[in-house]
Amino acid sequence: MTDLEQALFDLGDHLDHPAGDALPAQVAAHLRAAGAGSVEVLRLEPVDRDDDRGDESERPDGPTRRTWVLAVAAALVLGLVLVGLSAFTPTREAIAGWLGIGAVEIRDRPPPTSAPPPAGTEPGQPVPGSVAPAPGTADGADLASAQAQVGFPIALPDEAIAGAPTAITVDPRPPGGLVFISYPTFSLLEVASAPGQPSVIGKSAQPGVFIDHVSVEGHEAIWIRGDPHEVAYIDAQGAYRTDSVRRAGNVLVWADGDVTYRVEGAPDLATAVQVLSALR
Amino acid sequence: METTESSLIERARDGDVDAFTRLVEEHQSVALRVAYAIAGPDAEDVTQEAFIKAYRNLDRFRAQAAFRPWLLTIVANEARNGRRSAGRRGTLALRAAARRTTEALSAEDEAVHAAGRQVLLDAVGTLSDRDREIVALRFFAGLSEAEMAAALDVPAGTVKSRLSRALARLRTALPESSGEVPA
Repeated sequence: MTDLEQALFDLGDHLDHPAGDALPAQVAAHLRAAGAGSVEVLRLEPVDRDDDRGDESERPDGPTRRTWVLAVAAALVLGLVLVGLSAFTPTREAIAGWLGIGAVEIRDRPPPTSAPPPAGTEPGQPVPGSVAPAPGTADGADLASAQAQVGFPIALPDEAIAGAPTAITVDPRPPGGLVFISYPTFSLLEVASAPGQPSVIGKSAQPGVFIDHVSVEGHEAIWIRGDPHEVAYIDAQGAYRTDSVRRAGNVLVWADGDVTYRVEGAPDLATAVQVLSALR
Repeated sequence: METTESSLIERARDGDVDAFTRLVEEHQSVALRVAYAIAGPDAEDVTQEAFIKAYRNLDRFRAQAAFRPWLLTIVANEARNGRRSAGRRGTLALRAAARRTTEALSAEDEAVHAAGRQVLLDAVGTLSDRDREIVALRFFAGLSEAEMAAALDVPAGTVKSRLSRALARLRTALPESSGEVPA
């Protein structure tokens, strides 16, 4: 080693490197904290895909050992209304590996979709949440009409943050009601989710879908990202309503009190968190 | 409980923030040094952001690979981004002379050494970002050539030749009056 190299090592020992004493705690706090994209990645156990259901969720390019990340849920209520909650719960609990927030349930694999549409319901209605914007602008009358049909106070994000909604529609099938609010670049779904009630919207993730466990305004939330995932109403047997299945992009699901909120179509977590944080 | 680095990584990958915090504690010193070498006073912010990015990207970390070079690659990239966004190069500074070496130098000797170090640091400051970075990674952050190659994403041979040229330019930048080498 030359004298110059020795002198440089000595210089390095005397530089004012930050000690970073608080760094581990700061990093941990950031990972646990809400907002600003802080994310705790939640990866669920890989599960061999042992069902042979050949439905639309089958991905021909998937690996042999499927990593079925649980996902799901945004919950739709429909099936529960028709079948009754008591029959639903044991079935759901029998499914290995699931998690949920409010009215939304996430599973490690899609449940069967064999349940026929119950009599008396309009067939062919997918779970709301398409990000295709509705034309026009919703006004106060639309909001008042929607508010009269659901059993919880509808919250809208501050227009300074989210802009004006383009449409407000209500799906009366879930207990307590469900309201769907369209914005030009994302959609917001709000559904009643009293504590203890089963989920009403189910989501399941293919390989390539990831779930991040995050916190929004101090409440637990789930950010589902990656490849599109399957979303559907859950019926009382824990099965997807075949007429309600569709695919969804990035979704942030969050429960606050007796209402579950779902933001779909936001380009990133920070934007979705911003929408939820601006709810008034 | 298993506490090897690989098990901590695996637990962190499964969402265990405490396990990841252990990894932060293990590697923060070298990470801060690398960040300081490149970004100067923004090192702490840079390092925090780098650890958060590392956590988010643990899925991309190959289980059999060495964690430290992978982490330092993220730190170095983050530090460069931080330097660019700040629109300035971070200024490195000598630590206040409060901490004496174990050699128990006299105050006068310490001052002489400090002056010599400042001369050398000033010379380092005249180097290009590229030269200063490689000198700092080697001598200030204490990386091996292999680790530097990983952090800079260049072949080991490139590191060696680039470092050699940077040292040659540093010698040229040193004032002749300071003698052969300040110490």
